[in-house]
Amino acid sequence: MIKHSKLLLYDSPIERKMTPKWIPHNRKTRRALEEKMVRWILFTCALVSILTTVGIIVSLLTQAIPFFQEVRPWDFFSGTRWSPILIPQSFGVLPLVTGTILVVALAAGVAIPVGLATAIFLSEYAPNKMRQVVKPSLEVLAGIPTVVYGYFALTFVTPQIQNFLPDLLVFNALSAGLVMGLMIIPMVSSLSEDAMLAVPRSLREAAYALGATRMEVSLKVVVPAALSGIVAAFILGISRAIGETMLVTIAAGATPKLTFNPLESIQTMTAYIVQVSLGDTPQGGVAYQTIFAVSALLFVITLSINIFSGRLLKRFREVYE
Amino acid sequence: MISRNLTNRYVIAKIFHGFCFTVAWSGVLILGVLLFHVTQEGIQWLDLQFLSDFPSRFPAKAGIHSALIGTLWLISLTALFSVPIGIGAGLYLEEFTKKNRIRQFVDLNISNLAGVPSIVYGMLGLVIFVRWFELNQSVLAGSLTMSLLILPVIIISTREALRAVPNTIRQAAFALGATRWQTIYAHVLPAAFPGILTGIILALSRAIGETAPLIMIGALTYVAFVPDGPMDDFTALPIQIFNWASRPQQQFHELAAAGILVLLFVLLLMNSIAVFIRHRLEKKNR
Amino acid sequence: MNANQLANVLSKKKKEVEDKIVLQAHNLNISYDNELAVKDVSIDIPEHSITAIIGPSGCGKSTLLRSFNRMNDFILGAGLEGKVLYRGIDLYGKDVDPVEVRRKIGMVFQKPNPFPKSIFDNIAWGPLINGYPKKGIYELVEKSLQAAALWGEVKDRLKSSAMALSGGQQQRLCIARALAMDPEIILMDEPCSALDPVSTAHIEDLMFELKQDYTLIIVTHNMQQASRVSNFTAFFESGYLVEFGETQNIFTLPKNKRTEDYVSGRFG
Repeated sequence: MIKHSKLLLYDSPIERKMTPKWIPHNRKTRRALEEKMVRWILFTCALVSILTTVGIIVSLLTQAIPFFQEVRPWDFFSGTRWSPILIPQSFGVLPLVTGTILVVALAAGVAIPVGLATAIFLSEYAPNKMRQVVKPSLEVLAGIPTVVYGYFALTFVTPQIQNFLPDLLVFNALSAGLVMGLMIIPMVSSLSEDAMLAVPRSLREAAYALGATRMEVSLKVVVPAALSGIVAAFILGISRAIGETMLVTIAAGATPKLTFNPLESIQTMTAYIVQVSLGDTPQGGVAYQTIFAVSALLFVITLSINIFSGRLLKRFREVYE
Repeated sequence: MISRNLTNRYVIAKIFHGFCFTVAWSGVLILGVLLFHVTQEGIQWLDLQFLSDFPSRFPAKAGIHSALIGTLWLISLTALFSVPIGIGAGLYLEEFTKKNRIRQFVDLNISNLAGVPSIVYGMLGLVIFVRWFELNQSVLAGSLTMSLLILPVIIISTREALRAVPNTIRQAAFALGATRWQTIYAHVLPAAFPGILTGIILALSRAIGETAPLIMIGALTYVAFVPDGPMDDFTALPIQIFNWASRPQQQFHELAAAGILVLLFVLLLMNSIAVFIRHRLEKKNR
Repeated sequence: MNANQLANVLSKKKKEVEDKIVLQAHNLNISYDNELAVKDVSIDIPEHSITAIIGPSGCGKSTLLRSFNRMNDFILGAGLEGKVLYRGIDLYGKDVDPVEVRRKIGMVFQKPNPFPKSIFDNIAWGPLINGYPKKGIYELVEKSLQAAALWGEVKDRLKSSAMALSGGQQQRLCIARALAMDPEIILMDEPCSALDPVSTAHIEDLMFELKQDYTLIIVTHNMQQASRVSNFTAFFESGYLVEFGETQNIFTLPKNKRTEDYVSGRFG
């Protein structure tokens, strides 16, 4: 029997027997107040995330709306000449968009097969010792700042390719695209690998029991089962590539051009924004406001892609629960 | 006929295995090539003078001092803002709310924010912090912008760390008559802390390497002084690297490589500290 | 003794028995997401006894138990109708703070769940956050461990991690932790189902000792345990309280056929 010394909080057992009524009361003590305060502080922290989205939308709109009052949206979205600073002015954004698409397509062409094959290797083939080298290497690749990739594209990849293709300009879409592919391989690979690891072992074992080779199990059983997760991985990688700034600024060039030739120098949406920020374009003019319009376009594109892939990922997670 | 088909299948399977193997290891290989190239180009410039000199038009005299100090200022202030708010938000959303429509909306919002390009955050910083708050191109504006950028990452990793704490611990604490905050403070947070810390280090590592938002808010690319206070102008390592890499002269490219080595070293240091702290904490919890 | 005196003695005895009811449920209906798990249950738990709640799995036993210390409050979609009275006070009343309820009605869970801290901290934490003065805490920890029959085994390693204890020791630690709060009622949700027979025997002995000073309500799958340990037994099936009475009556002379079928092993 635990006998407590005389304390305010505890009735001694003898007292309890004599006064069996325990009167509960809502203590408005310091503790209840503390609890409330903590809740409020934490709530405001969570509020910051909502405010951030509001902030982004507001800051883009405040300048983009005046811009679209000056420039017709139709001209903006369908024009093929982008020359907001040099006279004659033209505000067709398509060259920037094609510049982005060109680089991103090259990046996807590299990252999707390589990322998927790496993921298959890691999830279906690799012995533990190899995993312990390959996975950390991928994580390091993922952590390298993008300026480093830009530097690498400009000072290593371009000269190397010029050995084979002497027509290659110093600033070109090819090097930037290839290195950007390298940059997003870790993301594509790890997300695909997660999707494949979520496929239950029993599915693989059933296929093996029927005499399938490892390749057949990977390609015909695991990948199809993990497909929505893998596709989501591709899409997220592409979204990241679209939003990438420094790599293309350093290596792809500053000449907006409506072309799909990777050997030429182009300009992406993101690189354009950097160029204007570093320049002396007077703030408040239409030319300056272009960066907000382009940012808004960028934001809408990446947001749509992310929402879409989020829905896809949700579907893949539900299937196995 | 069956055996011929089998041989074919085996051959194809072996080729595929070889393909995947090669591809996976080529990623490792290219990482090695990248690091080798950077080192080869930059190591010659890496000395004490490089770390203590300011940038200059003359490559021989150029150094990275202002960028290094600027980055240290930036990271400290960013950590100061983003870590408490990020952990607080993660705590609130994971421990104090129920799974209803509102929370689903907030979750969606946060995961979208995590995917917004960093340059858009730069626009946000430009309009709100530089202009509206009138902070100009200060370290403060830069760190506030960076904090918003990495906030979703911290929130998401905090929530995952909290989710990994078994619910039985919370139940045991409630059954003893503890309030929610008492339970979280005494049991849930300590258990989740290694995971939270890892998330913070990852987020800050990302912040160190980000350039675009800083350019947007106007961090200067030629700065020959170090910040004395949060309202001062500044530059940062990635910006200096970008500046040097954008110049046509070979020597500046080599300086950029040296700057990259410094940047990579800082990142390596941070991650090593994180791994170390995490090991110590996990040992204590056992 | 004449008729009057007999009547007096009988009514006094009835009153004594009435005074000794410590927890009551009146027409309790508990639902998860609108599906009833506990259906119209009324039960009176006498003090200083062990009441066992038995029945096949998934019939609402744990749900009922959790409603006694308001642990169901944490489950999304849980709804409760009816009353739970602790010494006459409605635990779900408007003015009642659930945190206070849990200080008076403690709980031990099915799988031992010590905090990942030292043995000492496990036991000391609950009282300390409730205002127990630091000066007396060591004594309290010692007495709780003694009451849980664990003191001898751990007294030289109070600062070592609780996770290093065996399953049976961890469960006794959880019991000591609950005792340190000086509750009046201790709820136990299948406390031995994750333990080996030897540890189970230890804990059953512990239960016998505890009932002198506390009231125990135990949910158990194990009929033999119920018949060994408890004074009163309640048989549940599909959310209904089928029968409640003294244990020996339930097991030897059950009034309800379903009860008889269950205790003789015909189902469940």
